[in-house]
Amino acid sequence: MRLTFEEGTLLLRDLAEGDPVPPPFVWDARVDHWRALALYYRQALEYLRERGASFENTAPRYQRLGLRLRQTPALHPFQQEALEAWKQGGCRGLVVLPTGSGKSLVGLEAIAHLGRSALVVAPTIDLMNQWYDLLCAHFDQEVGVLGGGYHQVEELTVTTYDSAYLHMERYGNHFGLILFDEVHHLPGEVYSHAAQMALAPYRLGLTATLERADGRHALLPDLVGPLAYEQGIRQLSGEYLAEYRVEHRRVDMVAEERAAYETAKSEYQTFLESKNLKLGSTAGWKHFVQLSSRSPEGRRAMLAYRLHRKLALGTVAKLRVLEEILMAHPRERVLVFTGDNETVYEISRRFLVPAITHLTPTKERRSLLAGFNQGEYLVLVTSKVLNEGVNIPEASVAVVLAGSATIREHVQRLGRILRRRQGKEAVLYEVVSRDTVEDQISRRRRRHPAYAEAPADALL
Amino acid sequence: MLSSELLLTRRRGPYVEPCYLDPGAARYLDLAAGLIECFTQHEGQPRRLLRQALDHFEGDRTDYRVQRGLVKLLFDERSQFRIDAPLPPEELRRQVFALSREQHPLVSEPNLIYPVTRQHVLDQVALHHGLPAQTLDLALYADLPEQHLLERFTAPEPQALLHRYNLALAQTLLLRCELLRLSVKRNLPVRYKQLFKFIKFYRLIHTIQGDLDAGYEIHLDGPLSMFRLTQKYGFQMALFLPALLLCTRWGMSASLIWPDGSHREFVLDDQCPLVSHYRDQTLYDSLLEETFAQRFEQAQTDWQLERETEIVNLKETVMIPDFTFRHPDGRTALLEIVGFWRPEYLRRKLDKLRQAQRADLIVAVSRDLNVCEEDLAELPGGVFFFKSRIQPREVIAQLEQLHSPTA
Repeated sequence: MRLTFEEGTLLLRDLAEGDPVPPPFVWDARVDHWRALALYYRQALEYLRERGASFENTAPRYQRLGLRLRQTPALHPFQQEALEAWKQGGCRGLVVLPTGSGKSLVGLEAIAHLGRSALVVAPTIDLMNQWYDLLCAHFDQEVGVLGGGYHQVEELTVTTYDSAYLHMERYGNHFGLILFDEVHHLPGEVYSHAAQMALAPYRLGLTATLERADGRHALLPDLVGPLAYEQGIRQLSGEYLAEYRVEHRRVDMVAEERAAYETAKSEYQTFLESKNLKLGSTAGWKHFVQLSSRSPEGRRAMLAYRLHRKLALGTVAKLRVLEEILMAHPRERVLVFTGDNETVYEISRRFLVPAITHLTPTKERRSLLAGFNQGEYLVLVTSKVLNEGVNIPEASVAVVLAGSATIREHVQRLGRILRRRQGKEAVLYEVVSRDTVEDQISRRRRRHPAYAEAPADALL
Repeated sequence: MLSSELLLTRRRGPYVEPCYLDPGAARYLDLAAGLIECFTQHEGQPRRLLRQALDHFEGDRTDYRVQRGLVKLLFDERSQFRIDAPLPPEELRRQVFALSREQHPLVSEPNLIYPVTRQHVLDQVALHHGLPAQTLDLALYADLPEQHLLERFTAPEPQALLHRYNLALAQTLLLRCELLRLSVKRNLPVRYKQLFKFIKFYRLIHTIQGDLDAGYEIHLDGPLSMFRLTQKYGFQMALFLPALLLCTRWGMSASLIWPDGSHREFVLDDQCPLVSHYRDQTLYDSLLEETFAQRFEQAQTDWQLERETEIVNLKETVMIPDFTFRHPDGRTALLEIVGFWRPEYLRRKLDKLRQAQRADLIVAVSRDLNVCEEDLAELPGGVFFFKSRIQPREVIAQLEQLHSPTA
């Protein structure tokens, strides 16, 4: 009997009389072999070994590496606890720690502990690049990159969830350990393939926020392993994280912007009233979309609606406020967040400060982040690409000019300036256009406990 | 292919179909010609200006999604862009941002504490490079896609663009496909061979049912499909579609998963107006088979030779014999010609023949090949060797022997 890996699945071939077939395998009449998801490799192996079955195993391609971790700070007690808890669980499972508490250090220790070919999966190219830097700095080992224009697989490799979905059928047997960073992304309909098509017997999921609105985090124990360790944000604040305060700035649009905003608003509202439509519900919105492709009036109303959303950002007035904020913190490292790339480049050109978006080349991105941390640059402007966990320990001021309503995004932006440093008090500015749709979004956003309990913030 | 928001479909009960454009309609030919013209005029211009012109062209037209679909195909398949800058933009940015850091913060109105504006910084760097400040300003982000120049545009015929669009609609729909069912009937071996070559190339797994007369039902999906509903193989199926269009007698039914989780069927057949842009490589049969077929038709026998053939399912692969023979009394048989093969192909071919275990299969092997009788010992049907050409009478003798009571 032979156990092989084929495009994200396991095949059992050439069975002899009396050979046991592990439970996850089912008969695949398309090819006349037994087949199982690669995910169940460990389970299948344990089953076969318990029964003393003799079989040739050509499925795994991963190696034992002599991995030695260098230049790492001593683990905090909670990091040590997290690592031990994960080991206790057979090196499978989830570790939940707040943003800024050094999750990646736990990950590096896990990779060193296992000493086998390992893959790190991250949600964005930036995070992938950051893991690349970390692995290069801490191990004497070539590090491969799969994604963001690179296709190079090594015994230690970093990738994104998108690339993992696309390439796991080819490389799903190359790694003994898979580390899923920001693991709450994994259970999505598409990304979950990445965990199912890999045979890695050892898995680690890291995140600050396990829960998903769609409830699919319930799939994580199957895909990665059980919850091994959890520590919340309030338990660690003060002791390990920087204190922070929130400054809420509501700005008035400039007159021309306000006029254009009101015109656009009344144009689409007149259309909606004439059709007796309300946008509050999904059905109403769908109806509007349908009508907008049926008549030029409808189409114009839709264009007016789009324009009004864009104008609600009140970019002109906000850039004035941004200038004031930059003048108020002339010596500090300032991170500026916007909701769209167009504004990122507008700010970059207006203030002649570096920008990072998904369009920034990998090499330049890395040198900009390093330059910012070393003080070669004082300001860095970006949109959503830096949302999660990118290490910017030197930033002490963050300015959020616009963003989506999702709570997680906002908490993660907060987390960015929460990196621990002696005697540092961080400031987060939220700049919102007064009396616009954006104003309502901002109120919704501030319902999260990390905001509500934020110290020294009278505005909230 | 198109992005999902450009996919226009119509629903009929459980069925869904793309909203094809009539490739002969003046209205669409004019639209296509107008867009092609727009691209042609913007050769040598930045993408940003081309986009503005396209937005202007679009105006408040309600069929803007059709237009954007056509535009996407022109961008993706017909346009070539390049970066246009006097200095590498990344290097330029490094210099400008470094200088700006020294003068931080830059302000819009200079004052006593902060006297430097962006213009001062730009002027200083521009002076250093001997360039106008405005050129420098533009070059700062010349590497962003919106600033790239349209270097070359290869204009298609308007009607060819409409055909390509219709096919792209169908392909985009297949991205949602979890299972593709094909029915094929009485195709020439070369067509079947081409079809399965593509099925293999796109790494789809097949299940086959049926026979020569009833036709075949072929299911296509992938390794994971038996464990979960997945659209993972939709992309491979979309790429496979133009290959299917090269077949002659076929029908297709695709099970789609809609974003809301519901299921739809997408059906097509050989009467559909879609035009493949893949090259048909089946136009000519090999000369050996061609001459044999001609000679057999002149031979004195009741056996009829049929060019349409059977598909022998070997699970992980298929074998498609070259000819079918049919006798008026109801007997049938297959002929496989092992003519000119490179060694590794030959070995696989012989494996296939052994695996098939078909008693009604006659194998004709060239003497030029390094194959001996023992290699063919396990074949249950008939075997004979031939020199340069295959003699019909030898095949007829084999046919009779196959069905004689002693065989």
